[in-house]
Amino acid sequence: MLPVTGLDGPTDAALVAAWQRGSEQAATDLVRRHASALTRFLVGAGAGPSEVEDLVQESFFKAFRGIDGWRRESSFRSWLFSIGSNLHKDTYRRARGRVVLSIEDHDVADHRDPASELVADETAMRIQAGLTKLPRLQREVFLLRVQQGLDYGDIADALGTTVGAARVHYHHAIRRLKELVP
Amino acid sequence: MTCHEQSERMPAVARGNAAWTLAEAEHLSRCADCRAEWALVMPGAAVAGNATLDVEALAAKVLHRLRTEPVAPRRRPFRWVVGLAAAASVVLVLSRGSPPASLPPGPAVPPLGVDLPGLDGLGTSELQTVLESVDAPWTETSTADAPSLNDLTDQELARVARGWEN
Repeated sequence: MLPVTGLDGPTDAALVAAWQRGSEQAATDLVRRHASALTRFLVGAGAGPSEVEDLVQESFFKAFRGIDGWRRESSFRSWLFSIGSNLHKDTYRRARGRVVLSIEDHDVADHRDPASELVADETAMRIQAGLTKLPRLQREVFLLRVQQGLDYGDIADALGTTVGAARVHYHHAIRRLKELVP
Repeated sequence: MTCHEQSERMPAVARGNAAWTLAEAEHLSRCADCRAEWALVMPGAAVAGNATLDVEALAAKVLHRLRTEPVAPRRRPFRWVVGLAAAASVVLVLSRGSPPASLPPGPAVPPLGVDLPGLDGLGTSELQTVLESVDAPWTETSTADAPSLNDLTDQELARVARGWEN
């Protein structure tokens, strides 16, 4: 499970409890803590630039409205990711048949110095392009494991599967990416 | 050091939360399979690394919605199916009439074979199957002559209840 204790402040559980008592500041802190990771995950999973903000916003809205549904044995982040993943899946189903934007079309802000990270970025983009060719579960397991650093237990919670299945999806994803990414 | 152990450590090292041990570095240098995986995992940690949102604006929008949008009543999907199945099972029981008095008390009423509380976990096709299984006795049996629960004796009611529990 991801660390949720507070080197940087109160734990997620404490913030959730505060939100349940009506603290809007606690909700704001949870958004600050998890929004970037959720955004990266959804973009990596194929969410387009026009939809990712809506998906992230809706994920938090649903999470706060349905906070009683969070089982404390999984991390708040993995639960949030499960909401985001399901919303993205629903969006994809509704838009099936629509032209899918390639990652080069992603119009996301870049706040880093491109010169020093160009090579790494290019490789990451090739991997992201390879990810689009994987089945959804393989793609999302890879992202949650590699990009987000979740352990298999949290990945299983986030994607509604088992630890064993998450491991299998991960190794299938690696095997396929070895073929797909030059 | 095995390839599996090496693989398990890769995400943490790629994200900068750990460093290779000497044994791991050595394994990586002589194992082509692990090197190929590492070549994916290391840059994979940076996938979509440039994707950002204005988090403060996002938080404000979420809070605004939480303040202004009414809370939707909690829906219980397929609850009506459970109710229908329960009603159908009652009709099924009653339409078969009371067993002869000589029969020993017990599970005289066969259950539908459906775990009713478990219906929430069924898929659409499985629910359809359940519906079809409860449709048959409902439509094939006239309920006009069937006694209602109010007409049953305590003993008969107890038998019906046992049938449901089995």
